Amino acid sequence: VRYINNSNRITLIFIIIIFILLTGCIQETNNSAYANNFSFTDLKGDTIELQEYKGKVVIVDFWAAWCGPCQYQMIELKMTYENYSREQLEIISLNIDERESIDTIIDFINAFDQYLNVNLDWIFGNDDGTVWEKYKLETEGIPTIYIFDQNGNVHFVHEGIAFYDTIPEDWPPHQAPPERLKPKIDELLYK
Amino acid sequence: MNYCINKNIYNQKYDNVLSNIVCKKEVISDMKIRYTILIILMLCIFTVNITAAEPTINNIIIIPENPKPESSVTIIADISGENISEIILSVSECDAGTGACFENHHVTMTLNQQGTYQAEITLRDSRGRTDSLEYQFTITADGEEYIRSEESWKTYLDISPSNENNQGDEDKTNDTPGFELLIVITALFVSLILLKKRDRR
Repeated sequence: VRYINNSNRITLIFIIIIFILLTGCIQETNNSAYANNFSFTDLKGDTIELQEYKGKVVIVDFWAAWCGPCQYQMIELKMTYENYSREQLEIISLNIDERESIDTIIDFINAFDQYLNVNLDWIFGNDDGTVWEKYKLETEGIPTIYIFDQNGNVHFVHEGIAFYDTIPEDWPPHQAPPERLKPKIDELLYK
Repeated sequence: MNYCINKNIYNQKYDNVLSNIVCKKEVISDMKIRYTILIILMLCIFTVNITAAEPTINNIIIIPENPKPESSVTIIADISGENISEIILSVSECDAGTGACFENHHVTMTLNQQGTYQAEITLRDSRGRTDSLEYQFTITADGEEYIRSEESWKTYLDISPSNENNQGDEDKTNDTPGFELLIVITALFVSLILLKKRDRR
């Protein structure tokens, strides 16, 4: 070190800094591999993969048309969808009941629009059973909500109704404290 | 129309040239009003007819009122409507606390002698996940499908542990009457014998 003059010393420090920065970049590149992936059929019959939404927070909602709480969950998801941009958040509602066809899903969406004036305008799809088999919780209940971060890592899982932000005043106190989606999404978007 | 005639008389009296034009306008507006009323009436009748044709669920009876898990449940629904061809009942076994549903039954309801629709299901959940039942009716009438579901259509299951304990106690009482008493009496006898032995020493 004694023999290194000032200009060389500066060059050495500069190289070290560049090396540290580059290491960080390489690490970032490694992290950018999408952690979870699955495919499903959308309402047009196209195959969609989860990793297509890389860089966005993705909510995956497992549901079925016969499930009353799943219908309530749709209203909460609508509120969630409206409060974030499409660059930030995407929602995928996957029907897990193999008895229910794409036509059933379209009828369900139309009924929501007609009777409740709620336009369910996010991505809907039909699962052939493989996605649910992989992601269902031990108790196998619906609605089940997954929040995936921008890199496809599971950030949050919840079985049962998850509210957007406000818990209804008439929520029975003896029942389990409900989950809120907004704080979970904000953690990923604004951390 | 009467109003127009009166107007004519009024105009003739004052020899008004424009009276006929005014009258025609009045006739037209009068006819317009009549046609409007007629259209509204027809629309009302049409709407009422449509409403009357839609099936409605007047009452639902669940037997037993609070069924136990894995037991049989009979659902009787009083449904009014014209040309009902099929009613499919969907029953979900749910957890009212979290709002998650776990099991689902799709059954076709049959018309019984009382003129109500009936179906029987056997509850499936054996893992203690559910505490309530939710219902959804898909009614096919005149080729149209009507889905009926209300939040208030909920049945709570009998999952109280106290009932199970009570039943267990009752069973025990029936199977082993006085069993505990026998132990106490034996213990008393043994104690007496031991005390007597000690006195003798």
